[in-house]
Amino acid sequence: MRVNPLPVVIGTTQSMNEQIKPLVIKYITGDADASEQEYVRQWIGESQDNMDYYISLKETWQDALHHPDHRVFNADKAFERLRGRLQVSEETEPIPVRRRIFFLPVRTAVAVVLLLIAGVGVGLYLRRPGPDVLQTAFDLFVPNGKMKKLILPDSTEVWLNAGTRFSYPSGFGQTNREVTLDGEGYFAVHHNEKIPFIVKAGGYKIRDIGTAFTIIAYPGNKSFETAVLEGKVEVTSDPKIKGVLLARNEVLKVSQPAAPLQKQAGRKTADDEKITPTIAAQLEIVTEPHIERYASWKDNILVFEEESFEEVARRLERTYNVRIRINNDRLAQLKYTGRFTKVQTITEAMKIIRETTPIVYTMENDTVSISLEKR
Amino acid sequence: MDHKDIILIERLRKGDMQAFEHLFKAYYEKLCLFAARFTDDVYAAEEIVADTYALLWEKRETILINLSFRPYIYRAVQNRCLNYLKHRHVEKEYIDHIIKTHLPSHDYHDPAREEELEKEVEEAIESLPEKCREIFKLSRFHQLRYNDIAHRLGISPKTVERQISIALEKLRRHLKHLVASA
Repeated sequence: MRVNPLPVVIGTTQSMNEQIKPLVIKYITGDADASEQEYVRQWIGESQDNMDYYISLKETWQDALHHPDHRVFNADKAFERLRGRLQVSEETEPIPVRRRIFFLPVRTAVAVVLLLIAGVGVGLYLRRPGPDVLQTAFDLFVPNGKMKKLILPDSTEVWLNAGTRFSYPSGFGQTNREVTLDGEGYFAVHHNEKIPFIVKAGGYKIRDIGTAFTIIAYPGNKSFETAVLEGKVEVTSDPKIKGVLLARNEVLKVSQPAAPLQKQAGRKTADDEKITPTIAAQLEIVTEPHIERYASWKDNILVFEEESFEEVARRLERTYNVRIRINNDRLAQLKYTGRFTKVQTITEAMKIIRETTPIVYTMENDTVSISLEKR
Repeated sequence: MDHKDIILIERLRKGDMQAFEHLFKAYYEKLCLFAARFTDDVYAAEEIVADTYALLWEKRETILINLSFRPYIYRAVQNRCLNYLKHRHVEKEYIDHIIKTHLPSHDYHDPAREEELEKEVEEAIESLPEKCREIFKLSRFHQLRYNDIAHRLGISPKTVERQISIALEKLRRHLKHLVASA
Protein backbone atom coordinates (compact mmCIF):
# COMPACT_ATOMS: atom_id res chain seq x y z
CA MET A 1 0.00 0.00 0.00
CA ARG A 2 1.28 3.32 -0.94
CA VAL A 3 0.96 6.48 1.04
CA ASN A 4 -0.58 9.13 -1.06
CA PRO A 5 1.85 11.83 -1.86
CA LEU A 6 1.15 15.18 -0.29
CA PRO A 7 -1.22 17.20 -2.35
CA VAL A 8 0.56 19.48 -4.72
CA VAL A 9 -0.64 23.02 -5.14
CA ILE A 10 -1.22 23.55 -8.80
CA GLY A 11 -2.09 26.46 -11.00
CA THR A 12 -2.26 29.33 -8.57
CA THR A 13 0.84 31.08 -9.88
CA GLN A 14 -1.15 34.24 -10.27
CA SER A 15 -2.23 34.41 -6.64
CA MET A 16 1.18 33.26 -5.46
CA ASN A 17 2.68 36.13 -7.42
CA GLU A 18 0.27 38.52 -5.81
CA GLN A 19 1.48 37.47 -2.40
CA ILE A 20 5.15 37.75 -3.11
CA LYS A 21 4.96 40.69 -5.46
CA PRO A 22 5.61 43.42 -2.87
CA LEU A 23 8.74 41.60 -1.78
CA VAL A 24 10.01 41.11 -5.32
CA ILE A 25 9.49 44.79 -5.97
CA LYS A 26 11.27 45.75 -2.81
CA TYR A 27 14.08 43.53 -3.97
CA ILE A 28 14.24 45.29 -7.33
CA THR A 29 14.01 48.79 -5.95
CA GLY A 30 16.70 48.05 -3.42
CA ASP A 31 14.52 48.37 -0.36
CA ALA A 32 14.65 44.78 0.76
CA ASP A 33 16.75 43.89 3.76
CA ALA A 34 19.18 40.98 3.80
CA SER A 35 16.72 38.28 4.84
CA GLU A 36 14.10 39.51 2.38
CA GLN A 37 16.70 39.48 -0.38
CA GLU A 38 17.62 35.93 0.46
CA TYR A 39 13.98 34.89 0.47
CA VAL A 40 13.30 36.48 -2.91
CA ARG A 41 16.41 34.97 -4.45
CA GLN A 42 15.30 31.58 -3.39
CA TRP A 43 11.81 32.12 -4.67
CA ILE A 44 13.16 33.24 -8.08
CA GLY A 45 15.26 30.11 -8.32
CA GLU A 46 12.30 27.83 -7.63
CA SER A 47 10.76 27.85 -11.08
CA GLN A 48 11.01 29.28 -14.54
CA ASP A 49 7.68 31.00 -13.99
CA ASN A 50 8.98 32.79 -10.97
CA MET A 51 12.08 33.78 -12.88
CA ASP A 52 9.99 35.12 -15.75
CA TYR A 53 7.80 37.08 -13.43
CA TYR A 54 10.80 38.62 -11.73
CA ILE A 55 12.46 39.45 -15.04
CA SER A 56 9.39 41.11 -16.46
CA LEU A 57 9.16 43.37 -13.42
CA LYS A 58 12.85 44.05 -13.45
CA GLU A 59 12.78 45.00 -17.11
CA THR A 60 9.87 47.30 -16.64
CA TRP A 61 11.84 48.97 -13.93
CA GLN A 62 14.88 49.21 -16.18
CA ASP A 63 12.91 50.37 -19.19
CA ALA A 64 11.63 53.25 -17.18
CA LEU A 65 15.15 54.64 -17.40
CA HIS A 66 14.29 55.85 -20.86
CA HIS A 67 11.96 58.34 -19.42
CA PRO A 68 13.04 61.87 -20.34
CA ASP A 69 12.71 62.95 -16.74
CA HIS A 70 15.85 61.08 -16.27
CA ARG A 71 18.02 63.06 -18.63
CA VAL A 72 20.76 63.16 -16.09
CA PHE A 73 23.40 62.35 -18.63
CA ASN A 74 25.15 65.43 -19.93
CA ALA A 75 27.39 64.50 -22.85
CA ASP A 76 29.10 67.91 -23.00
CA LYS A 77 30.07 67.92 -19.37
CA ALA A 78 31.05 64.28 -19.45
CA PHE A 79 33.29 64.91 -22.41
CA GLU A 80 35.03 67.82 -20.74
CA ARG A 81 35.70 65.62 -17.74
CA LEU A 82 37.01 62.84 -19.92
CA ARG A 83 39.20 65.16 -21.96
CA GLY A 84 40.64 66.65 -18.79
CA ARG A 85 41.49 63.17 -17.67
CA LEU A 86 43.13 62.24 -20.95
CA GLN A 87 45.04 65.48 -21.13
CA VAL A 88 46.78 64.78 -17.88
CA SER A 89 48.70 62.00 -19.54
CA GLU A 90 49.17 63.80 -22.84
CA GLU A 91 50.01 67.40 -22.08
CA THR A 92 53.44 68.92 -22.00
CA GLU A 93 54.99 66.06 -23.91
CA PRO A 94 57.75 67.66 -25.90
CA ILE A 95 56.70 67.96 -29.47
CA PRO A 96 58.92 66.47 -32.15
CA VAL A 97 61.39 69.02 -33.40
CA ARG A 98 60.49 70.79 -36.54
CA ARG A 99 63.03 73.47 -36.47
CA ARG A 100 62.41 76.55 -38.42
CA ILE A 101 63.04 80.19 -38.22
CA PHE A 102 61.80 83.10 -40.16
CA PHE A 103 61.28 86.70 -39.46
CA LEU A 104 57.95 88.22 -39.09
CA PRO A 105 57.11 90.56 -41.93
CA VAL A 106 58.44 94.02 -41.37
CA ARG A 107 56.54 95.09 -38.37
CA THR A 108 53.11 95.86 -39.57
CA ALA A 109 52.05 99.23 -38.53
CA VAL A 110 51.01 98.93 -34.96
CA ALA A 111 48.63 101.57 -33.86
CA VAL A 112 49.78 102.75 -30.54
CA VAL A 113 47.49 104.66 -28.37
CA LEU A 114 49.25 106.15 -25.50
CA LEU A 115 46.51 106.60 -23.09
CA LEU A 116 48.07 108.46 -20.29
CA ILE A 117 51.17 108.49 -18.29
CA ALA A 118 50.33 109.72 -14.91
CA GLY A 119 47.49 110.39 -12.64
CA VAL A 120 44.32 108.96 -11.45
CA GLY A 121 42.47 109.24 -14.75
CA VAL A 122 41.47 105.72 -15.62
CA GLY A 123 41.92 104.62 -12.08
CA LEU A 124 44.64 102.09 -12.42
CA TYR A 125 46.50 101.98 -9.20
CA LEU A 126 49.13 99.63 -8.07
CA ARG A 127 47.39 97.99 -5.28
CA ARG A 128 47.65 94.48 -4.02
CA PRO A 129 44.25 92.87 -3.67
CA GLY A 130 43.28 92.36 -0.07
CA PRO A 131 43.86 89.05 1.65
CA ASP A 132 41.61 86.28 0.46
CA VAL A 133 38.80 85.35 2.74
CA LEU A 134 37.95 82.32 0.68
CA GLN A 135 39.72 79.09 1.19
CA THR A 136 41.96 77.90 -1.59
CA ALA A 137 40.55 74.78 -3.20
CA PHE A 138 43.05 74.33 -5.98
CA ASP A 139 46.64 75.46 -6.22
CA LEU A 140 49.10 74.51 -8.91
CA PHE A 141 52.61 75.52 -9.82
CA VAL A 142 53.87 74.80 -13.31
CA PRO A 143 57.67 74.64 -13.16
CA ASN A 144 59.99 76.05 -15.76
CA GLY A 145 60.29 73.90 -18.84
CA LYS A 146 56.67 72.76 -18.56
CA MET A 147 53.30 73.87 -19.72
CA LYS A 148 49.90 72.76 -18.60
CA LYS A 149 46.37 72.82 -19.82
CA LEU A 150 43.46 72.66 -17.40
CA ILE A 151 39.75 72.45 -17.74
CA LEU A 152 38.12 74.14 -14.80
CA PRO A 153 34.89 72.92 -13.22
CA ASP A 154 32.96 75.56 -15.17
CA SER A 155 34.40 74.24 -18.46
CA THR A 156 36.71 77.22 -18.88
CA GLU A 157 39.96 76.18 -20.51
CA VAL A 158 43.23 77.47 -19.17
CA TRP A 159 46.74 77.05 -20.50
CA LEU A 160 49.48 77.83 -18.02
CA ASN A 161 52.93 78.69 -19.25
CA ALA A 162 56.18 77.73 -17.56
CA GLY A 163 56.90 79.18 -14.14
CA THR A 164 53.29 79.99 -13.34
CA ARG A 165 51.25 79.64 -10.19
CA PHE A 166 47.51 79.28 -10.49
CA SER A 167 44.84 78.84 -7.86
CA TYR A 168 41.17 79.18 -7.17
CA PRO A 169 39.09 79.17 -4.00
CA SER A 170 36.44 76.76 -2.86
CA GLY A 171 33.03 77.41 -4.28
CA PHE A 172 34.56 78.06 -7.68
CA GLY A 173 31.89 77.69 -10.32
CA GLN A 174 29.08 77.86 -7.80
CA THR A 175 29.43 81.06 -5.84
CA ASN A 176 32.39 82.64 -7.59
CA ARG A 177 34.68 82.31 -10.56
CA GLU A 178 37.75 84.09 -9.29
CA VAL A 179 41.14 82.67 -10.07
CA THR A 180 44.60 83.93 -9.19
CA LEU A 181 47.48 83.89 -11.62
CA ASP A 182 51.15 84.65 -11.07
CA GLY A 183 52.78 84.13 -14.39
CA GLU A 184 51.42 83.63 -17.85
CA GLY A 185 48.13 82.13 -18.81
CA TYR A 186 45.73 81.84 -21.68
CA PHE A 187 42.03 81.71 -20.82
CA ALA A 188 39.19 80.55 -23.01
CA VAL A 189 36.34 81.43 -20.72
CA HIS A 190 33.09 79.57 -20.66
CA HIS A 191 30.64 82.41 -20.51
CA ASN A 192 28.22 82.60 -17.62
CA GLU A 193 26.04 85.64 -17.33
CA LYS A 194 25.41 85.13 -13.63
CA ILE A 195 28.91 84.56 -12.31
CA PRO A 196 31.59 86.70 -13.95
CA PHE A 197 34.97 85.13 -14.55
CA ILE A 198 37.70 87.16 -12.87
CA VAL A 199 41.44 86.70 -12.96
CA LYS A 200 43.52 88.34 -10.29
CA ALA A 201 47.00 88.94 -11.61
CA GLY A 202 49.76 91.44 -11.00
CA GLY A 203 47.60 93.53 -8.72
CA TYR A 204 44.80 93.80 -11.26
CA LYS A 205 41.51 92.15 -11.83
CA ILE A 206 40.65 91.07 -15.33
CA ARG A 207 36.99 90.46 -15.84
CA ASP A 208 35.89 88.48 -18.83
CA ILE A 209 33.01 89.55 -21.00
CA GLY A 210 32.76 86.43 -23.18
CA THR A 211 36.31 85.94 -24.11
CA ALA A 212 39.66 84.41 -24.85
CA PHE A 213 42.61 86.35 -23.51
CA THR A 214 46.14 86.02 -22.23
CA ILE A 215 47.80 87.56 -19.24
CA ILE A 216 51.49 87.99 -18.55
CA ALA A 217 52.14 88.88 -14.94
CA TYR A 218 55.21 87.11 -13.66
CA PRO A 219 56.01 88.15 -10.13
CA GLY A 220 59.50 89.42 -11.01
CA ASN A 221 58.43 91.23 -14.14
CA LYS A 222 58.34 94.96 -14.33
CA SER A 223 55.34 94.85 -16.58
CA PHE A 224 51.88 93.48 -16.79
CA GLU A 225 50.23 92.67 -20.09
CA THR A 226 46.92 91.34 -21.15
CA ALA A 227 45.92 90.61 -24.74
CA VAL A 228 42.41 89.94 -25.97
CA LEU A 229 42.03 87.32 -28.69
CA GLU A 230 38.26 87.22 -28.64
CA GLY A 231 35.48 89.20 -27.07
CA LYS A 232 36.11 91.85 -24.44
CA VAL A 233 37.61 92.20 -21.02
CA GLU A 234 37.59 94.80 -18.34
CA VAL A 235 40.76 95.48 -16.39
CA THR A 236 40.59 97.16 -13.05
CA SER A 237 42.66 97.48 -9.95
CA ASP A 238 39.85 98.45 -7.70
CA PRO A 239 36.35 97.10 -8.01
CA LYS A 240 34.94 100.46 -7.00
CA ILE A 241 36.44 102.20 -9.99
CA LYS A 242 35.38 101.60 -13.53
CA GLY A 243 38.17 99.84 -15.34
CA VAL A 244 39.64 99.88 -18.81
CA LEU A 245 37.71 98.05 -21.48
CA LEU A 246 39.71 96.09 -24.00
CA ALA A 247 38.35 94.69 -27.23
CA ARG A 248 39.60 92.03 -29.58
CA ASN A 249 43.17 92.53 -30.84
CA GLU A 250 43.94 95.01 -28.10
CA VAL A 251 46.77 94.68 -25.67
CA LEU A 252 47.05 96.52 -22.42
CA LYS A 253 50.62 97.05 -21.28
CA VAL A 254 51.37 98.43 -17.89
CA SER A 255 54.89 99.08 -16.79
CA GLN A 256 55.31 99.55 -13.15
CA PRO A 257 58.01 101.72 -11.71
CA ALA A 258 60.53 99.03 -10.99
CA ALA A 259 63.21 99.60 -8.45
CA PRO A 260 65.98 97.51 -10.01
CA LEU A 261 65.96 99.60 -13.17
CA GLN A 262 66.44 102.75 -11.20
CA LYS A 263 69.28 101.24 -9.30
CA GLN A 264 70.91 100.24 -12.51
CA ALA A 265 70.70 103.80 -13.69
CA GLY A 266 72.42 104.84 -10.54
CA ARG A 267 69.58 106.98 -9.42
CA LYS A 268 69.03 105.61 -6.02
CA THR A 269 66.98 108.13 -4.18
CA ALA A 270 64.86 108.17 -1.10
CA ASP A 271 61.83 107.67 -3.30
CA ASP A 272 62.92 104.10 -3.94
CA GLU A 273 62.18 103.16 -0.41
CA LYS A 274 58.58 104.18 -0.48
CA ILE A 275 56.85 103.02 -3.58
CA THR A 276 53.45 103.89 -2.34
CA PRO A 277 50.40 102.10 -3.61
CA THR A 278 49.20 105.26 -5.32
CA ILE A 279 52.10 105.67 -7.70
CA ALA A 280 50.46 105.64 -11.07
CA ALA A 281 51.46 103.12 -13.62
CA GLN A 282 52.46 103.84 -17.13
CA LEU A 283 49.83 102.39 -19.30
CA GLU A 284 49.26 101.95 -23.00
CA ILE A 285 46.76 100.18 -25.14
CA VAL A 286 48.12 98.80 -28.37
CA THR A 287 46.24 97.36 -31.29
CA GLU A 288 48.08 94.25 -32.33
CA PRO A 289 47.19 92.80 -35.71
CA HIS A 290 49.08 89.58 -34.96
CA ILE A 291 47.31 88.97 -31.70
CA GLU A 292 47.81 85.21 -31.99
CA ARG A 293 51.44 85.61 -31.07
CA TYR A 294 50.35 86.26 -27.51
CA ALA A 295 48.93 82.78 -27.27
CA SER A 296 51.25 80.91 -29.59
CA TRP A 297 53.28 79.54 -26.69
CA LYS A 298 50.50 77.14 -25.92
CA ASP A 299 51.23 75.48 -29.25
CA ASN A 300 54.95 75.43 -28.52
CA ILE A 301 55.69 78.42 -30.71
CA LEU A 302 57.67 81.32 -29.32
CA VAL A 303 57.31 84.62 -31.09
CA PHE A 304 59.44 87.66 -30.39
CA GLU A 305 58.79 90.96 -32.00
CA GLU A 306 61.28 93.72 -31.34
CA GLU A 307 61.78 92.51 -27.83
CA SER A 308 64.86 93.28 -25.82
CA PHE A 309 67.32 90.48 -25.43
CA GLU A 310 66.72 90.62 -21.74
CA GLU A 311 63.04 89.83 -22.24
CA VAL A 312 63.90 87.09 -24.70
CA ALA A 313 66.31 85.56 -22.21
CA ARG A 314 63.67 85.61 -19.46
CA ARG A 315 61.29 83.74 -21.65
CA LEU A 316 63.84 81.20 -22.80
CA GLU A 317 64.75 80.60 -19.17
CA ARG A 318 61.21 79.65 -18.35
CA THR A 319 60.57 77.67 -21.48
CA TYR A 320 63.70 75.54 -21.30
CA ASN A 321 64.27 75.61 -17.56
CA VAL A 322 67.74 77.10 -17.77
CA ARG A 323 69.54 80.18 -16.47
CA ILE A 324 70.75 82.75 -18.94
CA ARG A 325 73.43 85.32 -18.20
CA ILE A 326 73.81 88.25 -20.53
CA ASN A 327 77.29 89.66 -20.28
CA ASN A 328 76.91 92.97 -22.13
CA ASP A 329 74.50 95.77 -21.33
CA ARG A 330 74.36 96.57 -25.02
CA LEU A 331 73.28 93.03 -25.77
CA ALA A 332 70.63 93.17 -23.09
CA GLN A 333 69.08 96.16 -24.83
CA LEU A 334 69.34 94.73 -28.33
CA LYS A 335 65.98 94.17 -29.97
CA TYR A 336 65.28 90.72 -31.23
CA THR A 337 62.64 89.51 -33.64
CA GLY A 338 62.16 85.87 -34.43
CA ARG A 339 59.97 82.88 -34.20
CA PHE A 340 60.68 79.44 -32.78
CA THR A 341 58.31 76.80 -34.00
CA LYS A 342 58.37 73.77 -31.75
CA VAL A 343 62.02 74.11 -30.91
CA GLN A 344 62.69 71.56 -28.27
CA THR A 345 65.96 72.39 -26.58
CA ILE A 346 67.87 75.47 -25.50
CA THR A 347 70.83 74.29 -27.63
CA GLU A 348 68.73 74.54 -30.74
CA ALA A 349 67.23 77.82 -29.70
CA MET A 350 70.70 79.29 -29.19
CA LYS A 351 71.83 78.07 -32.60
CA ILE A 352 68.86 79.75 -34.18
CA ILE A 353 69.52 83.04 -32.43
CA ARG A 354 73.13 82.87 -33.48
CA GLU A 355 72.17 82.59 -37.13
CA THR A 356 70.94 86.15 -37.12
CA THR A 357 72.54 87.79 -34.12
CA PRO A 358 76.23 88.43 -33.49
CA ILE A 359 76.55 86.51 -30.25
CA VAL A 360 78.85 83.97 -28.72
CA TYR A 361 77.73 81.75 -25.88
CA THR A 362 78.89 79.01 -23.61
CA MET A 363 76.77 76.43 -21.92
CA GLU A 364 77.55 74.77 -18.67
CA ASN A 365 75.06 72.57 -16.90
CA ASP A 366 71.92 74.61 -16.95
CA THR A 367 73.51 77.99 -17.34
CA VAL A 368 73.97 79.78 -20.63
CA SER A 369 76.36 82.70 -20.85
CA ILE A 370 75.88 85.07 -23.76
CA SER A 371 78.16 87.84 -24.99
CA LEU A 372 78.27 90.04 -28.03
CA GLU A 373 80.62 88.77 -30.66
CA LYS A 374 83.77 90.83 -30.96
CA ARG A 375 84.37 92.08 -34.43
CA MET B 1 30.10 50.15 -42.69
CA ASP B 2 28.92 53.68 -42.43
CA HIS B 3 30.96 56.03 -44.55
CA LYS B 4 30.96 58.73 -41.90
CA ASP B 5 32.17 56.24 -39.32
CA ILE B 6 35.09 55.21 -41.51
CA ILE B 7 36.27 58.78 -41.76
CA LEU B 8 35.80 59.44 -38.05
CA ILE B 9 37.65 56.31 -37.04
CA GLU B 10 40.45 57.12 -39.44
CA ARG B 11 40.73 60.58 -37.92
CA LEU B 12 40.60 59.11 -34.44
CA ARG B 13 43.47 56.81 -35.32
CA LYS B 14 45.54 59.86 -36.16
CA GLY B 15 44.79 61.37 -32.77
CA ASP B 16 42.10 63.80 -33.85
CA MET B 17 40.43 64.96 -30.64
CA GLN B 18 37.49 66.42 -32.56
CA ALA B 19 36.65 63.12 -34.16
CA PHE B 20 36.88 61.52 -30.75
CA GLU B 21 34.57 64.16 -29.31
CA HIS B 22 32.10 63.51 -32.08
CA LEU B 23 32.09 59.77 -31.49
CA PHE B 24 31.68 60.37 -27.78
CA LYS B 25 28.82 62.83 -27.89
CA ALA B 26 26.89 60.95 -30.55
CA TYR B 27 26.54 57.89 -28.35
CA TYR B 28 27.05 59.03 -24.80
CA GLU B 29 23.49 59.31 -23.59
CA LYS B 30 22.31 56.11 -25.23
CA LEU B 31 25.30 54.21 -23.93
CA CYS B 32 24.69 55.44 -20.40
CA LEU B 33 21.08 54.29 -20.52
CA PHE B 34 22.26 51.02 -21.94
CA ALA B 35 24.89 50.56 -19.24
CA ALA B 36 22.42 51.54 -16.53
CA ARG B 37 20.29 48.58 -17.51
CA PHE B 38 23.09 46.38 -16.28
CA THR B 39 24.35 48.38 -13.36
CA ASP B 40 21.11 49.96 -12.20
CA ASP B 41 23.29 52.80 -11.05
CA VAL B 42 23.58 55.87 -13.22
CA TYR B 43 26.91 56.96 -11.79
CA ALA B 44 28.47 53.59 -12.38
CA ALA B 45 26.98 53.64 -15.87
CA GLU B 46 28.56 56.99 -16.65
CA GLU B 47 31.87 55.83 -15.33
CA ILE B 48 31.78 52.69 -17.40
CA VAL B 49 31.05 54.62 -20.56
CA ALA B 50 33.81 57.15 -19.84
CA ASP B 51 36.28 54.36 -19.11
CA THR B 52 35.39 52.63 -22.33
CA TYR B 53 36.10 55.79 -24.28
CA ALA B 54 39.28 56.51 -22.37
CA LEU B 55 40.58 53.12 -23.41
CA LEU B 56 39.46 53.74 -26.97
CA TRP B 57 41.53 56.92 -27.00
CA GLU B 58 44.57 55.26 -25.49
CA LYS B 59 44.45 52.40 -27.93
CA ARG B 60 43.29 54.45 -30.89
CA GLU B 61 46.29 53.58 -33.04
CA THR B 62 46.00 49.85 -32.70
CA ILE B 63 42.31 49.31 -32.20
CA LEU B 64 40.50 47.15 -34.72
CA ILE B 65 37.00 48.12 -35.61
CA ASN B 66 35.76 45.73 -38.24
CA LEU B 67 32.13 46.38 -37.70
CA SER B 68 30.75 49.83 -37.80
CA PHE B 69 31.40 51.91 -34.73
CA ARG B 70 27.96 51.45 -33.19
CA PRO B 71 28.04 47.71 -32.46
CA TYR B 72 31.68 48.01 -31.55
CA ILE B 73 31.15 50.56 -28.82
CA TYR B 74 28.01 48.89 -27.48
CA ARG B 75 29.81 45.61 -27.20
CA ALA B 76 32.74 47.27 -25.46
CA VAL B 77 30.40 48.91 -22.94
CA GLN B 78 28.48 45.68 -22.43
CA ASN B 79 31.65 43.76 -21.68
CA ARG B 80 32.74 46.35 -19.23
CA CYS B 81 29.34 46.24 -17.51
CA LEU B 82 29.43 42.49 -17.14
CA ASN B 83 32.88 42.75 -15.74
CA TYR B 84 31.69 45.34 -13.26
CA LEU B 85 28.79 43.15 -12.18
CA LYS B 86 30.97 40.12 -11.78
CA HIS B 87 32.73 41.95 -9.02
CA ARG B 88 29.57 43.01 -7.35
CA HIS B 89 27.42 39.88 -7.07
CA VAL B 90 24.24 41.81 -7.46
CA GLU B 91 21.05 40.31 -8.70
CA LYS B 92 22.83 37.50 -10.36
CA GLU B 93 19.60 36.17 -11.79
CA TYR B 94 19.06 39.19 -13.95
CA ILE B 95 22.64 39.27 -15.16
CA ASP B 96 22.46 35.63 -16.11
CA HIS B 97 19.33 36.45 -17.96
CA ILE B 98 20.91 39.35 -19.85
CA ILE B 99 23.89 37.27 -20.81
CA LYS B 100 21.77 34.33 -21.83
CA THR B 101 19.32 36.24 -23.95
CA HIS B 102 21.63 39.01 -25.09
CA LEU B 103 18.67 41.08 -24.28
CA PRO B 104 20.11 44.49 -25.01
CA SER B 105 21.86 43.41 -28.18
CA HIS B 106 18.79 43.48 -30.32
CA ASP B 107 17.83 47.00 -29.54
CA TYR B 108 21.07 48.69 -30.27
CA HIS B 109 21.05 48.14 -33.97
CA ASP B 110 17.99 50.19 -34.47
CA PRO B 111 17.89 53.76 -33.27
CA ALA B 112 14.33 54.12 -34.49
CA ARG B 113 13.25 51.35 -32.18
CA GLU B 114 15.02 52.98 -29.28
CA GLU B 115 13.16 56.17 -29.85
CA GLU B 116 9.91 54.36 -30.16
CA LEU B 117 10.57 52.49 -26.95
CA GLU B 118 11.46 55.66 -25.18
CA LYS B 119 8.26 57.28 -26.30
CA GLU B 120 6.12 54.38 -25.20
CA VAL B 121 7.73 54.22 -21.80
CA GLU B 122 7.25 57.92 -21.40
CA GLU B 123 3.59 57.63 -22.29
CA ALA B 124 3.13 54.69 -19.98
CA ILE B 125 4.60 56.58 -17.07
CA GLU B 126 2.53 59.65 -17.80
CA SER B 127 -0.61 57.53 -17.85
CA LEU B 128 -0.14 56.47 -14.23
CA PRO B 129 -2.38 58.07 -11.61
CA GLU B 130 -0.79 61.24 -10.35
CA LYS B 131 0.21 60.13 -6.85
CA CYS B 132 1.41 56.83 -8.14
CA ARG B 133 3.48 58.51 -10.84
CA GLU B 134 5.10 60.88 -8.40
CA ILE B 135 6.09 58.11 -6.04
CA PHE B 136 7.37 55.96 -8.85
CA LYS B 137 9.52 58.78 -10.21
CA LEU B 138 10.99 59.54 -6.82
CA SER B 139 11.96 55.95 -6.43
CA ARG B 140 13.16 55.23 -9.94
CA PHE B 141 14.75 58.50 -10.99
CA HIS B 142 15.82 60.00 -7.74
CA GLN B 143 16.78 56.69 -6.26
CA LEU B 144 15.09 57.45 -2.98
CA ARG B 145 14.26 54.69 -0.54
CA TYR B 146 10.68 54.00 0.49
CA ASN B 147 11.25 55.60 3.88
CA ASP B 148 12.67 58.77 2.33
CA ILE B 149 9.78 59.06 -0.07
CA ALA B 150 7.31 58.46 2.74
CA HIS B 151 8.98 61.13 4.81
CA ARG B 152 9.07 63.59 1.96
CA LEU B 153 5.43 63.14 1.03
CA GLY B 154 4.14 62.69 4.55
CA ILE B 155 2.70 59.25 3.93
CA SER B 156 3.45 55.84 5.35
CA PRO B 157 6.17 53.60 3.91
CA LYS B 158 3.52 50.98 3.36
CA THR B 159 1.64 53.33 1.06
CA VAL B 160 4.81 53.98 -0.89
CA GLU B 161 5.36 50.28 -1.25
CA ARG B 162 1.83 49.74 -2.45
CA GLN B 163 1.96 52.61 -4.93
CA ILE B 164 5.22 51.42 -6.44
CA SER B 165 3.83 47.97 -6.74
CA ILE B 166 0.80 49.35 -8.54
CA ALA B 167 2.98 51.49 -10.80
CA LEU B 168 5.18 48.61 -11.81
CA GLU B 169 2.31 46.30 -12.44
CA LYS B 170 0.49 48.88 -14.56
CA LEU B 171 3.63 49.67 -16.52
CA ARG B 172 4.34 46.03 -17.00
CA ARG B 173 0.97 45.44 -18.49
CA HIS B 174 1.24 48.55 -20.57
CA LEU B 175 4.66 47.67 -21.87
CA LYS B 176 4.16 43.96 -22.12
CA HIS B 177 4.91 43.89 -25.82
CA LEU B 178 8.24 45.60 -25.22
CA VAL B 179 9.50 43.27 -22.59
CA ALA B 180 11.21 40.78 -24.77
CA SER B 181 11.27 37.44 -23.10
CA ALA B 182 8.76 37.41 -20.30
